Amino acid sequence: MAVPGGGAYSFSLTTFSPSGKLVQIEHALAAVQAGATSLGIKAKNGVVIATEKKNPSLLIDDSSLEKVAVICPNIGFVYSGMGPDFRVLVTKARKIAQAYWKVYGEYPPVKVLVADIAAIVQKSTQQGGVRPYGVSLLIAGWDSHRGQSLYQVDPSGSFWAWKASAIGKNMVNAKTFLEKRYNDDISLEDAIHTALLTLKEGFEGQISEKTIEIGIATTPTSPDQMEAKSGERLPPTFRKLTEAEIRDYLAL
Amino acid sequence: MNGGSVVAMIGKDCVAIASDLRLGSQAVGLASNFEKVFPVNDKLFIGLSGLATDTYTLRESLRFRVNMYRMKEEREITPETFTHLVSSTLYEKRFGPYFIEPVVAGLPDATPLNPNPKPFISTMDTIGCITTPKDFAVAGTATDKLYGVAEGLWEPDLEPEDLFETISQTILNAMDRDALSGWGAVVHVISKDKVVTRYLRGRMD
Amino acid sequence: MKSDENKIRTLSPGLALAFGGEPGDTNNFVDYVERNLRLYQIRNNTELLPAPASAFIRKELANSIRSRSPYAVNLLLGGYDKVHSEAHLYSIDLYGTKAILPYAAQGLGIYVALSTMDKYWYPEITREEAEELLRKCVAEVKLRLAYQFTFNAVVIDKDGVKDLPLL
Repeated sequence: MAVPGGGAYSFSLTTFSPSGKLVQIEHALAAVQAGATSLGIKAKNGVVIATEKKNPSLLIDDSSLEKVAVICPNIGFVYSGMGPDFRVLVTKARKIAQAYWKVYGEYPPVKVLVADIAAIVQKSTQQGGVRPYGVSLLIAGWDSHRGQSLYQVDPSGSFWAWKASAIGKNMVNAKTFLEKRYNDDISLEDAIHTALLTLKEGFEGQISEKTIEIGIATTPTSPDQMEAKSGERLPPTFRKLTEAEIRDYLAL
Repeated sequence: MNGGSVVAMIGKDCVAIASDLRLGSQAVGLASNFEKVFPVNDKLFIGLSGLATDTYTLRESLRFRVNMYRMKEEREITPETFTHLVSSTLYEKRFGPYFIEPVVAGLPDATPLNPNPKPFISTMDTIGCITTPKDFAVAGTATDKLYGVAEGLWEPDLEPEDLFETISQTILNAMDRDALSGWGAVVHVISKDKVVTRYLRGRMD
Repeated sequence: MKSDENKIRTLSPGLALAFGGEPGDTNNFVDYVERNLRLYQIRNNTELLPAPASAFIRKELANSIRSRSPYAVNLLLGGYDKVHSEAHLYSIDLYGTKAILPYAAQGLGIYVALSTMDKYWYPEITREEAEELLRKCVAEVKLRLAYQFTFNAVVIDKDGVKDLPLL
């Protein structure tokens, strides 16, 4: 494994290079940079996350492709990078959310779930015999403690809260675009349009309800929206937009 | 086996929780300083009546969990969430339970979504099945007597001072009719900006 | 039957444990506690004070009672806390029930001894009076119980654990 020369550090994950880098993590980030663009914008009354969904072949049934995932009624994920790695994290996140519900009778605050997922991602940068996750995540959600929030988790396991951010192939351009467009009291509706505009900027081919996915977190406006009626479940605060809804937004 | 009782009551923007102070071994009274009500945070208390060793053990395991919660979530636990936490802690030992019937009493903090939170009490059986009464909750060896007296004395929307009087008379009179509870009592009245704790002297026989 | 066994163990310079219960369990458990307190002293270069020592012992018994082979041991833990200059007395039973007390008794003579102390103990009792009260309890137990055994006693103060002559 320890090949003499410069190559030695690229393969053993748990070894620092002399310059203090963990090269595997940088390779994982490269995998993210190569992935389809995803972005998120936090608005005054919600959060939007969106991604482009490239169908590699006409023959693929696109109804099976899903890039925005609902984790629990108040949190959703989107990613750039490797799809299979993303699904592993989604499965783990859903289990964490349900385990939290079993103990506390409510779903986790966004930051708590983000920290738990980031801890799992971090573990795969230190444990033996594993490779890092080849994804960056954008996590949108709402909770009664911090309100709506948008987080990013990287392959290294670091995480940040954003007002607006982009990851993946076109992230540099998209971020510059968002910096120009963003202001602190943008509404959710405006944020969805800004998200679409930003995606359009770097989009190759035709943008349509089939080639993008959108998830939104909304903020409840009155206390009774938070009080479950007998025999009913609370309305979710995070949901995916349907194809019809996306078509309407694109038409505007 | 060790004896002891706890009662909690809802008032107008306040809650009260009280316990007796006796620790016994069957009929022998050992200590008259055994409190069964413990603070969880500024506005949240839990009463743990039942087997005394489990009172200690459960208090310590709950303190551990609440401290971890506080650090992880960077906030104080609410009475509702704490009740679920206690419930799942008890249910973990479903087939070898703690012999404790907890009573939770707290005032939730106001939030933008819920600017006027209602005072909260709840109680559980030994394996964590939750009940959330609107008036009062009782537990311990004097349960029957506490129900009787509380049914008679409690009324809605009591101010903190009246609530103190009501809960004090309830526990004192129930204790006097129970051989395994007594030897003094402690009462906490939780209102919006302060908690008042008073020790009551009772019959020492 | 042995009627003159020493059932008090000095755990550390400021801590002593009186014990009763299942004969094999008692010595084994007290040995275990004693060695663990010694280990603590070696590791940290300081004696465990009475309050944390009582918490340690309680936890061991509380865990033991729900284990496959519980210890049947009842204890009275006495100690002098040199940091806070306080005397401590704890009664811990086989379930891990811990009581913090001004006076305590366990075993066959519990009713006689507790009644005696209920009558004569008072909050400002001096050391000499307390020693005398202990003798009174022993005398009362000897007088009223059918079984006859010998007693031994210790006093714990800032200078350590010393035997207390009962006659």
